[in-house]
Amino acid sequence: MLRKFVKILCLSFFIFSISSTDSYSQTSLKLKFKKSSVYAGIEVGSKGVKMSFIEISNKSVTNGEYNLVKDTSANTDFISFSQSSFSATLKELTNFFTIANKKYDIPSNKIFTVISSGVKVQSEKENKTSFVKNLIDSFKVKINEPQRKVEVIDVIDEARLSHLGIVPASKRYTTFLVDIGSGNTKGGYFPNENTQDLKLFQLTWGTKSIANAAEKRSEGDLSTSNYNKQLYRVLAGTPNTEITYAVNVSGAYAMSDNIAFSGGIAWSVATLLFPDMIDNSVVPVTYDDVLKFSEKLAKNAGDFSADAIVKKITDKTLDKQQIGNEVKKVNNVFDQRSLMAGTGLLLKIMRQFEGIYEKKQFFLVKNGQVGWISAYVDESIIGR
Amino acid sequence: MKDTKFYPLLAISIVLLLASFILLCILGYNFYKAKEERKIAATTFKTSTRSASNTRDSLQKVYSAAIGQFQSDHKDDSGSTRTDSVKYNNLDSKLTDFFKLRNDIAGLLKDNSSIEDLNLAKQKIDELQMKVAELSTKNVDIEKENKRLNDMLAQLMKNASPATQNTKQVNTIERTTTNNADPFFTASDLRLTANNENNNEVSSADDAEKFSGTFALKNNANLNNAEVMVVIVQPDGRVLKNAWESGSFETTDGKKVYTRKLKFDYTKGEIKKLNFSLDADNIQKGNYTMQIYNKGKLIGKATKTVS
Repeated sequence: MLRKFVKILCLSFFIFSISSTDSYSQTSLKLKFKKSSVYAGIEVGSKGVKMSFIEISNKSVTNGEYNLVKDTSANTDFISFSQSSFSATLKELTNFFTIANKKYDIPSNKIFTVISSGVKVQSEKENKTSFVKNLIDSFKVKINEPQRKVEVIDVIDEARLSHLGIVPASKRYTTFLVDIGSGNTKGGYFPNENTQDLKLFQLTWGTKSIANAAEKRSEGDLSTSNYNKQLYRVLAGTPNTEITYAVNVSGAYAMSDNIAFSGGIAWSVATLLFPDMIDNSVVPVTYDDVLKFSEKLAKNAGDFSADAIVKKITDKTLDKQQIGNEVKKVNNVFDQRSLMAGTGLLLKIMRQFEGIYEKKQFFLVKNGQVGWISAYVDESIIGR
Repeated sequence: MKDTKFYPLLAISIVLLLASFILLCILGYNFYKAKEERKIAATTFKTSTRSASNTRDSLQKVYSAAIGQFQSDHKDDSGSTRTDSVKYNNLDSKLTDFFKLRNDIAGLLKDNSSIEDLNLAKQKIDELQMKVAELSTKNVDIEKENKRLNDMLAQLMKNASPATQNTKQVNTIERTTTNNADPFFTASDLRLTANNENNNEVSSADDAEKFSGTFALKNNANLNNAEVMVVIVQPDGRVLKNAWESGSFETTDGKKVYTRKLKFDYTKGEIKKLNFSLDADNIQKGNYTMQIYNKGKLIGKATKTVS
């Protein structure tokens, strides 16, 4: 009798421990929506491997909401195309897949793996496409999924997927999405109400390249005021001509009601300018808002420190610690000068859409870099 | 022999004399006729010149009258306020047409102008008279609009706070700007409901998938691109936010986050019914408050309890 009781007890304990481990895995990701699903995206980029978990609301089709739950990355310098970088990239790629699948319980069909356009462009330039192919094949063998899809995406595809993932269906055909990166800017819109046909927009300037050009001109006088002066001159030169030309050629002014900006600078400006909208992945903004921000940034960057921002918050319902942490993150990624450069570039592009008679609605998109996962969900699983 | 030649020679002489006489008569007749024709032509020319002169004089009178009417209509315009740029753009183009016509007519009414020129001048003067009539109507409209705006300004100044009253020293353009600061909307019939996926009203938080709100607005001015902000405060005190829909705005109590912005055109006196639907995740139990703001001022409030 006692033996039978001990057996039942042991079995109950075993079931309890399994179920508690399971529920720990599911709840260890802090979710935001009542009805949602979590997906993982693993991307092999120029610098290394990046994994993001995003929670997509079941209503995201109409409101375009997704929540970046967690992200992590490992620098493996894949585009050096050496044997060591290959091994390191393969190891991290496999490792991330296993973590998502085993630790966080994300089923394999909800884990997406892609090779970014940066890798594609560089491998083609250096005749190293075999490196990329080998990586994909080795990864499939390592995870024992020969049918796994590892797509190598090009620039247009990347822009198209980002647009589909970031912009909600209700604004899809009226929104021009511009992703300001560190070394370049790309984006586009769908002119023909067809999601396969993206009108691409590209600039050879990004936040870092503008900052570098201004820094280069500032030699001899390292003051912020001189940097600001040189930045103005840099922006008024080739970038301005290129922006004006690219916007005109794109035809986006006539075709778009909304202009949405993503990329690091959009996230930074949104976080520093609207700390009270910390939970919102997208915030509306005006040209004047960004202009005032830019002027204030050049005069007194201290106003945008975590302490200064948190001190000004009076709404008791807001999580001051969360805001403080996010502002600190921004200040760690961008210093004052990079912020000034990025904001200057942002303003130059916004200016092209700031008509006297027709005003466009501007948006700043945070976490736009993982928007493609949401598009993958739509295209791969739901089949839209 | 001599006697036989006399008679034929006499006959020939008589014939020649007769022919000469006839030729002289024809010559005299032709000379007389040419003289008569010259006389008629001179008389005709004299008559037509007198008539053209009369036409020119009468056209000149009509033209002067039209110009005079225009000048008297627009004597006071120098002090008028630029209330409506669109109206003024129309007026400017009409004035340009007017001045062009005036110059054309002046050119046509010169002393050496032909009958055709005068006919053309007559047509242009008709056109000029029409333009003057149109400009006069516009002038009356603008005066009425000006009076309405001045009355509104007076009303606003009467209702304004002492701080606003201190800024009385404004020039005409600034006054117009103040006029554009239209009065606030008033909100009525506010209703907030919780709905399920099929848009049926529910009261349980578990069944609720979205909120629907309706309200009516009224104002006493015509407004293009008017906007109101809808703020939905959740039971935990946080504002309900939506990506791509929510933003922040300035209120009389400082910066605030709005749930939804609604834009619309408004016709004076109309009762404008507005409604919205809002998908919401994690609907909590408790009181949801819908607040309506117009130009930063709270104009209406409604509460919905979700159990």
